[in-house]
Amino acid sequence: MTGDHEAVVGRSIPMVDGPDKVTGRTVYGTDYWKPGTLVGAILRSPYPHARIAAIDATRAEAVPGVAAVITGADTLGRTFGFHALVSPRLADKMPLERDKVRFIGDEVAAVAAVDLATAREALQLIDVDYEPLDAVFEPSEALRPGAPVIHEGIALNVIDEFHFGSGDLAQGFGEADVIVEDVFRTQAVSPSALETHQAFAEWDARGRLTMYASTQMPFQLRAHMAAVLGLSEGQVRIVKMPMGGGFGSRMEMHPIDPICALLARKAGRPVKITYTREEEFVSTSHRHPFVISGRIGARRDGTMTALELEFLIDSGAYVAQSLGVARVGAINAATLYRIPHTAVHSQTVYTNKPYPSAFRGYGNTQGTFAVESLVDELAEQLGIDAVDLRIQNGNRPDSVTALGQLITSCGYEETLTRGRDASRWSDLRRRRGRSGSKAVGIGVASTINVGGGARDRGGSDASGAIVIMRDDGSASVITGGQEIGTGGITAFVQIAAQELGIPVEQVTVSNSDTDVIPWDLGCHAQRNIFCAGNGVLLAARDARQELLRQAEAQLEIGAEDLELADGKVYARGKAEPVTTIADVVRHAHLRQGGSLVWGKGFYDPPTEQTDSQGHGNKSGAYSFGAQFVEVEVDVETGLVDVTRVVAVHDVGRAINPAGVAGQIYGGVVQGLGQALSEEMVYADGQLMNPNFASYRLPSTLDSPPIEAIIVESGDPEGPYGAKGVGECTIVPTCAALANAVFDAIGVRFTSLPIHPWDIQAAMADPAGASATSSPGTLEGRR
Amino acid sequence: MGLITHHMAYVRPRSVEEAADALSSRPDSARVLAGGQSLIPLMKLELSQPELLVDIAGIAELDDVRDRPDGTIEIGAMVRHARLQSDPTIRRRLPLLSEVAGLVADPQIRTLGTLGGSLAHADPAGDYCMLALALDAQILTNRREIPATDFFLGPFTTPLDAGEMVLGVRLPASDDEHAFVKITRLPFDSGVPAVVVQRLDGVWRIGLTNLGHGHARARAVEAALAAGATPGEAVEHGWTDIEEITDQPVPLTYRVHMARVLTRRALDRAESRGRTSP
Repeated sequence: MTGDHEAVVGRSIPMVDGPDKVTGRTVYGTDYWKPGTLVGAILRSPYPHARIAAIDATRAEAVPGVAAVITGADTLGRTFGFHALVSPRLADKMPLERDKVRFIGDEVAAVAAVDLATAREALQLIDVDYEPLDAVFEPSEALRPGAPVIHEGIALNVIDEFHFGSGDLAQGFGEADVIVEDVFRTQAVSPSALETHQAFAEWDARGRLTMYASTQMPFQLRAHMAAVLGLSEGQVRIVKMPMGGGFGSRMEMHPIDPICALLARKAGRPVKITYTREEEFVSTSHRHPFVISGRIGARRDGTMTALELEFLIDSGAYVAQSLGVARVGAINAATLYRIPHTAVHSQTVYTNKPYPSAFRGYGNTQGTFAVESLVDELAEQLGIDAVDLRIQNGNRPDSVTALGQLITSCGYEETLTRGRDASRWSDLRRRRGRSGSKAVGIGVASTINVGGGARDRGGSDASGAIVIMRDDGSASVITGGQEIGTGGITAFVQIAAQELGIPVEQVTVSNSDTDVIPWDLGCHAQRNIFCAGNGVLLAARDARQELLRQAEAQLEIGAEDLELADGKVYARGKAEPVTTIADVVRHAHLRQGGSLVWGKGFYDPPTEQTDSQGHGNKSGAYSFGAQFVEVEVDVETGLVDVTRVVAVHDVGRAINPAGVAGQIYGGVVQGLGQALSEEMVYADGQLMNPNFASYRLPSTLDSPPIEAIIVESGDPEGPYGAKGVGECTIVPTCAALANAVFDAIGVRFTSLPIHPWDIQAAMADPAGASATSSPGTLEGRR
Repeated sequence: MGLITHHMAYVRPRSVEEAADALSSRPDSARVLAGGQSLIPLMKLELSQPELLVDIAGIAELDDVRDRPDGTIEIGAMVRHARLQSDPTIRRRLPLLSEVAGLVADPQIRTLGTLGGSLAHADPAGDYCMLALALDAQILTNRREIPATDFFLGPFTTPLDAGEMVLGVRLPASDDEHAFVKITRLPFDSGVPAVVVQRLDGVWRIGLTNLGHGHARARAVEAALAAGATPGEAVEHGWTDIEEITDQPVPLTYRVHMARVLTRRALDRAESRGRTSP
């Protein structure tokens, strides 16, 4: 009989939250409302850098319908920051700034009123006396002696600096026969989640705060809210709402959260703030611009000997997650290949611009663009096939990287060989033929990524879970694991159903209320399936054991001779069930002296924090991938048509293959957006394109055919062998695209995005075709 | 900003006279609502805050296509893009207009947006404006007829007076060789020129969007073609007096280059396809 029980893990079941989402039933954070709620709005600095001399809110407070006006004086004056645990100086942001503003959009004051029109009217009546200060917008200028100091006491605006590496760089480059170097520039891009950020705050009569929040990290939000408001964590309750996309932008507490809570407390009523798209661009996360000077060396036989990278990172006005982004970028760039001598020197610098933070890829997209462009050029100069060169130097199973990561499962080579076959690489590479104004090319790039969380300062990378059996034999999974549109809860349902031997329709997931759900670090670093999934797996196994113990007592058959499948209990080897799981649960619950049928699990991966040199096995597993991008370049117009993408990713094991493919499609399209069209354009610190009319996101019409290929290397630590896939799918896309353009027209572009006018100019003037693209910004052309 | 929070009055007149009276009642703050596919987004962005909206969707006579015996067609201001795309008279008499209408934005906008609204809005990226310019159309208002060359004065700028509204447009009909070239792919579905070419009475007419202060007529190219130049030769003429539009992220040199390339491609396409059979 058990042979008939089909495995649930590994099947492409539809997303369990899909029907409600596509029929409009899901109540997202922005939809949430209750009677009596006030509307909040935020006053922002019109200056990139200015001292606040005085604020007078008298006129605003007098507007009929205004319930509360707050300024920095209404806060505790405490600063916060994502990395505040590392060092107090990394807590550099206030909910409302008191003395100084540091970018156009910095939070200064806020209003709660009966409706949005009244709140906006009142904002205009808050009189702020600013004393403008000199501002600086480029990291290279912020570093110069005499540059404006953005945060007191931070010399030359350098908020973070480190050297990672291994071996002896001089020896490594000394052993090289060929050395390739270049300078790469990446731009600020927005995660552009469909749902903008919102906050909804409500205080009860005893002074306890509830936030209805769209957050990827509810427990972190709880801790940071408590700290900045001077509460204990127990006085804060986070109810996590369904999210219309996160991509990292909902990891941290943003100023909107404490502002909303302070308004609600002062007004004595619930307050809701919903960001406009413009505020979403200016006041939440976007990707850090990097300037990367890179150098790689190899022997004539292709053996890579040395890699050196210098990062100059634009942190904007505040630090947010810059430290983590810089380190993730450095570690991945240094360990994509087995290079014995590596060095990454990184500087992160304040400027008077909106501040970047987490975005899918988290530093790795920037570093990988540089390394995978360098490696493509290295292959060119060595005369070695670009796929072969990668396989020769790439990571292998059961190895240790130069920075001490333990590579267990590793399908890196398979991602390249399968991609090579599926993309018809060998036929398409180096055609260099032109038909009319069209030139065609194919490029490849690869990636390493944490695949099972990332242990950071703070100790835990853990996920707890509880599974409670209901009287009808169905199961309630309670987890801190997330659903940010990536299929998380569907995977949790599949894992629990598999372990408990019940249909997926009989498993529900609760993952919202921090008063109920067990501790979980949150959704980031490809840890949701790996860590929270393992937590659910452990809890479901625990519940299964309890089910079997109860069945043993009720049936007088040894637990070791019982099996659970299709919601029924079988005696081993018998075709007919002995009883149902529902009956076992009812008999346990509904009798005198009964007991709860449930299980609990707590998973913390066997990892370590990296040291000051970047050494340490910080993740429970590592994900690998390779993407092959085929392009047709119109050399007359510079327009790049991406005609096909083959994206191959080692995910350990696909718990839901359709869900994995969805992550691959999304990552590729988002990556192509960064490669070809997306860029946040600034003029003197003013974001010029905070809307989707002028910030160009790819649409479905711009999306090429994408073939998603899943490699299953079977990770020993992952649930059913699974590793993360959410982030790594965006990482290699920009480099693969740039390498394809090089294959098509023989010009290597090192700045993103690659504008059509850059290509057109390079083709019009082949002699002067520099390897860099011009900045397309208003600022750059002044 | 996503939400329109300011208060305004709204009227839906039944006749042109009623509409004109309403507009004249608040000469500085009344705006015509003619489909709303440009005005409503501007109101959301708080770039336009009219106190009175005069919705002319209820005026039946403005939703009319008239094939006139003098070889022209007159099209009412409230004719929607979707109808321009499919209307048999227009497809037969001026197929270029149907072609242009078919690439306006997306199907939702084509269902609601109107020819008159688009002309009066005078967006530098507006494709009907360049078509009107190329064909020397007459813009018909409740007070006068204005030649297209005098109507498009710059980005979002027309000579319409307070109380004056666009009722329609008169265009010469022609099914001679024509082509419309517009890049609809990222990264630029705006900011880069689009081109219409139409042969009219044996002479090429060429209009472009997004050049200089808005729409342009490539008269030097037209003249070179009339003098016998090939498309490739002709597009080397002109383009010299084009001024930069501020607030434009795409470099001017590239836009001028694209104007040349796309004009040549349009002429090649028009010639290779020949006359459009009805």
